[in-house]
Amino acid sequence: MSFTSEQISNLVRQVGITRDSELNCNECLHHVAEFAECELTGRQVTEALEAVRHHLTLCIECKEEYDELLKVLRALDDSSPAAS
Amino acid sequence: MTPSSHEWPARLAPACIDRDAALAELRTLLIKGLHTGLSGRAGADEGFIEDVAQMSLVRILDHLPSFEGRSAFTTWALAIALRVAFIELRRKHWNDVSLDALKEQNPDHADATEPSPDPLGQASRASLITMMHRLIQRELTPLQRDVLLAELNAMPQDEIATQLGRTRNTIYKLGHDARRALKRAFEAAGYTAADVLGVFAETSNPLSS
Repeated sequence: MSFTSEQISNLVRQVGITRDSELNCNECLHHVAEFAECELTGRQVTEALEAVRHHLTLCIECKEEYDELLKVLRALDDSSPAAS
Repeated sequence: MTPSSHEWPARLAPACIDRDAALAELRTLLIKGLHTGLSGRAGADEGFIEDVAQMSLVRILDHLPSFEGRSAFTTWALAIALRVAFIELRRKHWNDVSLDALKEQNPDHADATEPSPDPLGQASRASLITMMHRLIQRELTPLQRDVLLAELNAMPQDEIATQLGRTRNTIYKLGHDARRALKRAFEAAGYTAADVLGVFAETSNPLSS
C-alpha cells in the first residue's frame, strides 16, 4: 500500500491540527444545530462548540452536511420568518 | 402558527392527540429542507427525498429524548435529516468501490513534487512527506493504514465502516488514533505542530474561507 504526495500532504496538515480529545461524528451531529445557529446569528461560540468547529476542519463528511444545513437554514429563514 | 421548540417534542410524543398533525408538519418541513440541501445532487430525486424524509422521521423520533433544546427543534431535525440523506447518497455513489481496490491502486511517488518558486519551502515539504511515509509504515497498525488510505481517497466513513464491519464512530476513532500516533512521532523527531502547519501554511483552513 502506498499514498500519493497529495494524500500525504493532506495527512500532514490533519496531523498538525490533531488534538488529543476530539468529537466523533455522532457527537458533532449532537451539537451541530446549536453551532450552526451561533454561526448564523453571530452568537459567541462556547468552548464546547469550538470542538464542533475543529471536527468540521477534519471531517469532510460532517463539513459537507454542515454546509448544506447552513444553506437550508438560510433558505428557510428567507421564506418563513416564523420557523422555529 | 409554527410550533415552538418546546412544543415539538410534546406534540410528537406517542400519547399526544396532535401527533399525526405534528408528524405531517415535520415531514413537510424536512422535505422542503431536503429539496434545498440536496438540489443539484445526482440521485436526489423526488422519490429519494420522500424516502429520506420517512427514514429521518423515524430517526428523529428515536432520538427525541436526546433533544435538549439548545437549538431550535427544526434545526436539530434538519441536521439529522441531512445526515440520513448524505449517508444514503454516499452509499449509492461508493457502492461498487472496495477497500481492496483502493489498496491495489498504483499512486504517484511520494517524492514527485511540482516545481516551485519557493525551493526551500518545497524541500521542507518534501522532507515532511518522506518522513510521513516512513512513520505511517512504522507507527500505524495495518487497520489504521487501511482507514487512513480510504479516508484520504475520500471514501465515506460509513462505507469504510460497512466494509470493515465497524461503526462510523469506530472508524473516526481509528483515524484519530492514527493521527495522534503520527503527531507524537513527529514531536519525538523534533517537529512541533506549528512547524508542520507552517510548512503547509499556504493551504487555507476550509472553515476560514
